[in-house]
Amino acid sequence: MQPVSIGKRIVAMAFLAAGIGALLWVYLRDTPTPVALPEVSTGTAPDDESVTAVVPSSDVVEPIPIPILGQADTLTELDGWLNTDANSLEELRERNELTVVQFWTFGCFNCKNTLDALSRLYSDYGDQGVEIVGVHAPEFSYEADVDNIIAAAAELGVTWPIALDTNKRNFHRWQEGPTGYWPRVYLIDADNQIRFDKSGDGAANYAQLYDYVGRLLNGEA
Amino acid sequence: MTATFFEGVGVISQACTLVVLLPGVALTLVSHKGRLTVALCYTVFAALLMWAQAAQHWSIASRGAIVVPLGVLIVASFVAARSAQQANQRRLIAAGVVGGAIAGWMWLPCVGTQLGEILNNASTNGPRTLALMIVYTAGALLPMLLIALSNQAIPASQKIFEHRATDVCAMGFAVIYGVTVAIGRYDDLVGELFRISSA
Repeated sequence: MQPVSIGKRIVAMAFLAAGIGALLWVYLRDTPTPVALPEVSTGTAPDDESVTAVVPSSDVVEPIPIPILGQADTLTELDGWLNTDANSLEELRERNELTVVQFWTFGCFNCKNTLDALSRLYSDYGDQGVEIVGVHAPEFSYEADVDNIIAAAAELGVTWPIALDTNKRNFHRWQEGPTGYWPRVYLIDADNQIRFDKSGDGAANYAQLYDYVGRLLNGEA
Repeated sequence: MTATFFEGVGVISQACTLVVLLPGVALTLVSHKGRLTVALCYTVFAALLMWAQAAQHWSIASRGAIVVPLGVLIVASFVAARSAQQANQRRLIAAGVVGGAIAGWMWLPCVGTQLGEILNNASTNGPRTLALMIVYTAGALLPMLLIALSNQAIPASQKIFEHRATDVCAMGFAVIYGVTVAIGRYDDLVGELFRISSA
């Protein structure tokens, strides 16, 4: 190998030090916290009327209309359901006004980050006609084992229905393009239209989902 | 941009990132005569294929019969990288490009906040999301880039990376990687190794 000049070596050492520093900084700091839902307007009337009374009407910002992103697909060729007596997505949709469908897998760090936000959504709106369906699409073989999924769901506090998409047929069919991502979440309304579709564990995404659920339940079209 | 880079660094130890990081490290290790060239090409093309799929510029799935030639191409890229001389930059670049493109094509990432924003906006804000994707991938592949840089920064490190055992391990991984990709079991192999190591 040809000898490296001093200048190049210094630059390389600077990058090397910066890279090692970045690694140390990320792995020695505290573990990141799960996605937290910021306080958001849910669109529902607050219990305390004084809250609205102090807000001048001219300051009220018109919320962005909730988009209609197309007809929702169905879930087919599943390997079973957990946490429900239903046998299909249609059955769950008929029982509820809104359905949140999330593609996840229990070994996915970012999927786990979203579970607190989904738990809050479920506890706040679960009895108001909102169902969550976690479509479990495993990336790795150990995530495909049903016993492992049941144990992980119990440990992670996933109480909503889980659809087992072991061969990722629905995972690939629902997500446009040749690839797919974990987590990806959709909100489906009573007319089977997709009203929300985001990838990733971003807190802002889940705050927006929470907002949309509240507004749609409140009658917004 | 900093947050994007650090999110990439933060997922290095996740199984879904190891799927793309391990081949990159092995390919860099076997490239005795141009590690930095190979590592940079691998990073950029892994990011490019990931982005192209998200932006719907690339619609061919890396599933089905196509995995067999992919497995062959993988082994060929390792052989090319290993046998390239320093003057033969084309061969090194080709190895990095092919290796990175295949890895990026097959990569099914776990998506955090920053990567989610990139993927959600890839089809509407192309140049910016592509740049961010490269930054994210550079973070996720940082160990590979550090190995490549250490050659330039600390010549003594060559003794480790040029050691025959390192070379045998990296080429052994290449064969296993190519074969498991060709039979569609590569992700399972990494997942199982991850599960065993974190148990």
